[in-house]
Amino acid sequence: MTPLLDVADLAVHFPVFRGPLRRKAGTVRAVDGVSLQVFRGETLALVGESGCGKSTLARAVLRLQEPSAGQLRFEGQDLLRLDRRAMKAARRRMRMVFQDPHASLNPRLRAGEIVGEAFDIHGCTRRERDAGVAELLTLVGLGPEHAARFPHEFSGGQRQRIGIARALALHPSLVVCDEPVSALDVSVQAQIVNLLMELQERLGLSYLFISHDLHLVEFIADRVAVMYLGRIVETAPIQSLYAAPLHPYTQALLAASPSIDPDRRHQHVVPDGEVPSPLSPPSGCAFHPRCPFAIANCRAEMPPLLTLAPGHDVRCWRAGEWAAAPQRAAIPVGS
Amino acid sequence: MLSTLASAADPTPMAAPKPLIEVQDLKVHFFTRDGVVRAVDGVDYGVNPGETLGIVGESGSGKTVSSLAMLRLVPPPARTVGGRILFEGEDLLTRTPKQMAALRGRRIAMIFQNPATSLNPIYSIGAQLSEILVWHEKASRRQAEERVAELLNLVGITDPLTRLRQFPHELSGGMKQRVGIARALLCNPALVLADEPTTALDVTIQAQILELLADLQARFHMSMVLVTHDMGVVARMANRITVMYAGRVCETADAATIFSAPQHPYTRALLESMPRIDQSYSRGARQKLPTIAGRPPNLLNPPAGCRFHDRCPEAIADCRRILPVETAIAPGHTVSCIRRGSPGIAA
Ligand SMILES: Nc1ncnc2c1ncn2[C@@H]1O[C@H](COP(=O)(O)OP(=O)(O)OP(=O)(O)O)[C@@H](O)[C@H]1O
Ligand SMILES: Nc1ncnc2c1ncn2[C@@H]1O[C@H](COP(=O)(O)OP(=O)(O)O)[C@@H](O)[C@H]1O
Ligand code: SF4
Ligand code: SF4
Ligand SMILES: [Mg+2]
Ligand SMILES: [Mg+2]
Repeated sequence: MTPLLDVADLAVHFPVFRGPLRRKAGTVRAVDGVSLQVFRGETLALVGESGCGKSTLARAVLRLQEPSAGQLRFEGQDLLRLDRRAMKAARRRMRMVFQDPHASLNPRLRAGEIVGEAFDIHGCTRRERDAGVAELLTLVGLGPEHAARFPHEFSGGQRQRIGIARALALHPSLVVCDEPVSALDVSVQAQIVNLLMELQERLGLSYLFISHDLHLVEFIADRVAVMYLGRIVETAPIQSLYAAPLHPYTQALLAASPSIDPDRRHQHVVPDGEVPSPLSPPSGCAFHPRCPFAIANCRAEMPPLLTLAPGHDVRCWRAGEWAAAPQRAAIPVGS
Repeated sequence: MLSTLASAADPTPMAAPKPLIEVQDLKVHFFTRDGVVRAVDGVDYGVNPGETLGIVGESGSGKTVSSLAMLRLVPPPARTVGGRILFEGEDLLTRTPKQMAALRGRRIAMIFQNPATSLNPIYSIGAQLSEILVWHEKASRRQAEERVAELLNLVGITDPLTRLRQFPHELSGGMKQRVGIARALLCNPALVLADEPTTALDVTIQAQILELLADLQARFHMSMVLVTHDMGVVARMANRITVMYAGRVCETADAATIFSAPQHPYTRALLESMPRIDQSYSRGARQKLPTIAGRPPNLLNPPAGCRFHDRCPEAIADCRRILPVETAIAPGHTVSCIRRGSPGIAA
């Protein structure tokens, strides 16, 4: 099966300037050689801590941020070869939902104009637009009567519904959701997550779902890609990732994420150290300064992404050892 | 390299100890141009010596405002319009501003959500922390600096003597929050108020800071109020939990009871709407998360009766009319819901 979205060796580098003369002080490798695929109808979750490059990757996939290197194929097309007009047409089929529903909606436009923007850009008639807007608002659990209201007249959850309606205009096949519920209240998060899953079933959508919340991801995703400092360190189907995470960073993330599960409330393993600066990433495996299993080789050489089980790729020199002994106590507690 | 965090969630012993601080029928209202916002409207809770009380609730439920009231720091146009705050037997609401200033930062200290804005960017870490000791304890500069260095070391900042000379922008987010914790502990406070102390931090750093807080709290036998919207965080940290909704308390109980046998319909709904790893959603059957329909009420014009009634799955006609009053249903377990036997005030 060919993937709907195929990202290969994608890199996004930002020059960093310092001081009064704005001298170039270095390069942030925000995304550094990322490969991933999203298949039709599936949800691929991208998880990692803030600053690891998730949003930059999302923007690069839509070419809202020009990649520095790599390949991007979407619906069989080589996106990086498209000119502006062709890229605009391709963006009808790949849309984005943003984290902050307050900041991502233009406060001066009415909900109907926000949702209808795509119809205008792509030259639909007024009637097509109005009918489309009414249908979309209903689809996301609002009503046509909401079209005349301004964003400030809606709650956070309702605003995120408008953001989703906007993304669904003109039948996209891929929706990139960048932390779509992180800014919302817990009870409202559940409403939006349910909506996204329902829409996926009805419309056959594929999601690239960005999140830092592993509990949420287990609920919504089919596969997970874990990112650390600009690189994918583990990709796996959801069952394997939660049952037998192979990368030490994934294990640390799982151990660190606060849980209300009675069995998991009582013991916690906390990784040491700070998240390093992407301006000067550590040598070798970028996780080595915080990794309890690091060996000499980890400092010297970056491990390759190796496939250790069907669909389960890991970037760790020692992952083969864990994979061979899956019953190993997850992490030696208190070592 | 790795360390374990023993649970802080063991239930408190049954013999009710005398609370260190007790908030009684607290009311804090905002007097805005549009009218009176009843942000905190008759709230009761208490913190026992050496325990952590977690206050949870959705955005706008009054968690921050009620904890600021304990320090008499509610921002205008808010005013504390009713209630008592008994701290070590005395009502803080009757203290003079001078008495409060002597208390703040010394007996009761605060850790803020955003470590970046809670430190002063124009002073070095050493200068702003020793200032507090000079002011409260009349310490000399040298004594103050020594104590600051000792505390920085205690909160896990390596090479404290160098850090003393650095400015906030030179530290990472996690490091700044460690400094914020050191600052709160400078004068050995009896009570620490921590308002979303880890919300601005990354997951792995959040876990480190929570571990540090639990460790220090046990070591110095401090009491702590931990305000958060994250049930996972209170599950890890709190002995007892108070659940707030729309300016009122729904339920207070020890942590184990809140998670295993919640009584208030809002507490139940809140817990159910959170994805949990023990329910294997991912094994094919993608079921829906239970949700609470609707959204929290506008406190400018709160609904009559129980404030949760228009979202409550168990609401009956009386709920629109009667404001439930918190009542004990078991030792240490109070609930405010007329369907759980709470008395009420008719509208
Ligand atoms: N300056 C203000 N003017 C009017 N109302 C205010 C003001 N500040 C806060 N409020 C109201 O007071 C109520 C309680 O606010 P508070 O900050 O205590 O909530 P919270 O529970 O801490 O929420 P969060 O989880 O978002 O921090 C809210 O309804 C809020 O809208
Ligand atoms: N325009 C930019 N210029 C320089 N650095 C940037 C820019 N955008 C992002 N970065 C850096 O790239 C890294 C990844 O950022 P981002 O993709 O936003 O992370 P995430 O979404 O995972 O939190 C961060 O270190 C960030 O500071
Ligand atoms: S390669 Fe080495 S340092 Fe990196 S995660 Fe694996 S064991 Fe740890
Ligand atoms: S008093 Fe009524 S509306 Fe309020 S929580 Fe109880 S049952 Fe629900
Ligand atoms: Mg981001
Ligand atoms: Mg708050």
